[in-house]
Amino acid sequence: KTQSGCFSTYDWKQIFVGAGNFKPVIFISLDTEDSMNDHEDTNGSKESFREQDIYLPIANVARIMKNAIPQTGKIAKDAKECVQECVSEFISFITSEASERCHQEKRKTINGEDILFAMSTLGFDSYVEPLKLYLQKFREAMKGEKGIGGTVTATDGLSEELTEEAFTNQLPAGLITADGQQQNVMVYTTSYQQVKYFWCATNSQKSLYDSGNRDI
Amino acid sequence: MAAAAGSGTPREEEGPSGEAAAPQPQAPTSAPGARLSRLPLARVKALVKADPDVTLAGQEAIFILARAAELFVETIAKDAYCCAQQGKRKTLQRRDLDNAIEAVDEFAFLEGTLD
Repeated sequence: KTQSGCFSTYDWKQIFVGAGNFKPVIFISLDTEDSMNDHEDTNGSKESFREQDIYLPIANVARIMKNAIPQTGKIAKDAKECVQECVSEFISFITSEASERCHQEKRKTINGEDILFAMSTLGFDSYVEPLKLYLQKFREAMKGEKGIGGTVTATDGLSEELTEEAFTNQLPAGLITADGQQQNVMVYTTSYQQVKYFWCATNSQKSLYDSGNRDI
Repeated sequence: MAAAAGSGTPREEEGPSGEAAAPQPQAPTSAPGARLSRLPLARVKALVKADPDVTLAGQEAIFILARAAELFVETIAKDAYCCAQQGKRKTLQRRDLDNAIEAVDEFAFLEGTLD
């Protein structure tokens, strides 16, 4: 019996791990794509390389919205989608301004200060203080970890992905089946993130591997 | 990338006892600076890099942006919910967001971006 699901084929690589057909192994996806996190959106990979098409996962957005309104409140689906679009606009808006300032000062890398300055300029002054606090905590946390945070590039940020993404990503529930003795492992990755580890459970044993990228 | 057993120990150990347990983000509160952002950094990073004028973005920048985006969502949700309450509704609807965007100066950049 093969475990299967509905995935967006765009940008996905499917990797089988665990050769034995009868070894129960466990599926883990560290992918940040929302298709795994949100049942409403399983097919709708809003992933694209155009700025206007990249959104943050609706489940995450909805959760933050829920926490902001009274508990008795409800949120219409199109309202969630609307905010989802607005957030992307917001990020692009700030980024654009920050990038401009960066260029003006003949720097190549947008840093935290650029973002804060852009916020202030664009009327989000009220965010600046809380963000400074947050930045402080982040810097303190990073100090002990691996030195000063460096530049993020497309291939960078391995350990960063491990720590941060581990907190913000939900592993798909219900993908582990205990039907009979047989389970398959599928490890998914996208161009944005490589799978860093997966669980391989045989009977009650667990081991941790770094799978890297393996094509079949 | 070479596969190496045990490299990169994850912070959140997942102990699947026959089931996958998702690492749930802690703390429902959104106290500033209290915890890590609840938005996936890779996606934020993707958005930033999609901007043609951006060459590089530092790690800090991405972190702050993710947190700022969170604050933005909270703010707009709260503002919009006020509109819903004024309309004696408990469900936040799309029109509440439209109203909030019109009413709040900071959200002026959103005008015209939604159909």
